[in-house]
Amino acid sequence: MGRKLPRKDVVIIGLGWTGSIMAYELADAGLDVIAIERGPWRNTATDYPPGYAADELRYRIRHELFLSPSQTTFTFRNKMDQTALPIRSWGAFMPPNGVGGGGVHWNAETWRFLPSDFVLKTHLTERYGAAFLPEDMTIQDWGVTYDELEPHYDRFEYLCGTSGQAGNVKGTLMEGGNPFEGPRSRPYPNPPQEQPFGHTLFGKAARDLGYKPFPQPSGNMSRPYQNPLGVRLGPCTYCGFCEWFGCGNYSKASPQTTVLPALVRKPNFTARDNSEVTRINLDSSGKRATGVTFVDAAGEEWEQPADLVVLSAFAIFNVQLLLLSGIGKAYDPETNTGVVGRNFTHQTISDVVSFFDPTKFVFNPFIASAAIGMCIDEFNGDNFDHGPHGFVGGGYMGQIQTNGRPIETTPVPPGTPLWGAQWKKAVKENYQSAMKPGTGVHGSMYSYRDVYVDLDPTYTDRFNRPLARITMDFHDNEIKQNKFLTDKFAEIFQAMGARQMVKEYRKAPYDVTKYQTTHLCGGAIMGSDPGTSALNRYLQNWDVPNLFVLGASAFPQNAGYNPTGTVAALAYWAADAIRSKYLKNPGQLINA
Amino acid sequence: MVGWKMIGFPGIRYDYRDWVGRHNERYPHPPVSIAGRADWTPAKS
Repeated sequence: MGRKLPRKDVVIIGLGWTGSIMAYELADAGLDVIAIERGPWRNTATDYPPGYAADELRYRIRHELFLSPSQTTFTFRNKMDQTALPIRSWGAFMPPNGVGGGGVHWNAETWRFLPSDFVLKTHLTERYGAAFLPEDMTIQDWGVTYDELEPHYDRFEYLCGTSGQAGNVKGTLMEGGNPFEGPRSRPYPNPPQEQPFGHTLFGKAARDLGYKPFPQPSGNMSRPYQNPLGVRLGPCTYCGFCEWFGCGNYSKASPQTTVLPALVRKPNFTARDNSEVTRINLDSSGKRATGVTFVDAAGEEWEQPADLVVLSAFAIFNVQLLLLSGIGKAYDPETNTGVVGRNFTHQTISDVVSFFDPTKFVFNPFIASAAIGMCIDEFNGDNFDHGPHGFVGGGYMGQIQTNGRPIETTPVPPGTPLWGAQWKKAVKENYQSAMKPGTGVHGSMYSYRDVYVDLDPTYTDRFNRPLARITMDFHDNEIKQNKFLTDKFAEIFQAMGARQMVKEYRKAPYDVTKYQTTHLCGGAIMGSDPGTSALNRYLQNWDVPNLFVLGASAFPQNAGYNPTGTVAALAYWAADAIRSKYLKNPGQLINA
Repeated sequence: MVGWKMIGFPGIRYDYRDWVGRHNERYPHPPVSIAGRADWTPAKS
């Protein structure tokens, strides 16, 4: 064990969205807080200023803001009888690194989950009967309800300055918003962003087909905004370099643009960057965390003692660190016992690329922000009757195209050669009149007994620790869901007047080289039963009560939305539980 | 920038607030790169 540093009240592992929120809340409560971050500190002005932030090759293709797989990676396999191999170039998801975490490069799509998503098992069983669910599906209720989380969603949206149109304010449906959303206590802090041509056309076609389209809730500012912490964001300029990039304009909600400026002013907050926590230390009883061990950039090992440990790294790293620290029983899919690693999920994404008559349509696809667009929610969650369709789950869908960046976004019709004069001609002809929503169908992925995370038996990281191993494949339920949703999505582009459409269904086997989203979820899930969850409803570890684990790792299954709104709402919910309950009487908050 | 000119990508113009609402109108300005524009830079000799 390394040299011992002075004790702190709280040590925070990972300074992304949840770590920043929790650090602020606990420092605000007067506690002495230190955050330890694996990657570098990142500032808008020095790390991605407008002068070079918009470098597609550097950031989109060469992944500068992401974790380098040479630093650490995961192994992957589809099935339990296969040998997993290390991922050496990111594909299906893009693990973040550095201060701000995924909040630096995210799209800022700021959704709330449906009220029924939080009681999914109960809800689906009551409506369709237990026999309707696949036998090996392991979905669970969350142990927390939408109504309990509502004030915390609200806090995050007002922290971020989310731009959007409310669909349901205290039970009153609002024209132009999402009629399926749970009741919100007040409208979004900012109005929706202005929509470009193609996105507007999608909204009109959807309305003509009888749907209720609405602007995607967005952390891209529709106007200047000052948040409750006194931090100011500037209006978005629709530059089209947002997703995969840092925003040089202070226009995208991120920890840097919303909470860190207020946090670093607190004298009782300190941070160490380029320092990787290798272990959460326990006392001899195994029931109490004594702090963490980390390795700094020079390779020196240190021990940071603390009374309270907050694990707030990216989802799968939370799971890995719990396994490496021996906290909670590791999940065993053979016996269906253990909790750490179970109910791991991702997302079921697909797209429809459509081609329009270039003499009639000029979309200017480069005019965009990352959370722009018009969506419908008719086919999400349980917003429609699944009875006739034989699957559960769903997703929102929309024309949410984020860019016209020319390396990535030059769609050409099928049959076009991959290079040469014919390819150039097709790119030129279609660049302005093709539509490529990207993650257009944002489908849920529910949990299964044979989809999980454990420690790899062969491959290790630079500290000789086992890599986390992902075992994941798509199940028939998700494939059916995606087929149904993608076909519905294509009907809208047909109604817009597309002359050709390419339906890019998501199919099995799960392909770790094809980008979907970075929404890895589960593995250290919350719940009401210590036998099937690693955390209680306050994200407190069942076995080690002075450990809270934040992030999407707590999701028992993934819904048909981007997760960050829910991830952040849960962080505020946990912070509130620590401030109002735990600090008064440190110990297990739930007697299970 | 030949490719960008060919397809009509304006590079990093950065601020399209004046054009986001001008639907189905071709964007009129030539491309700008992260190094600026050649015709903004004086000739070397």
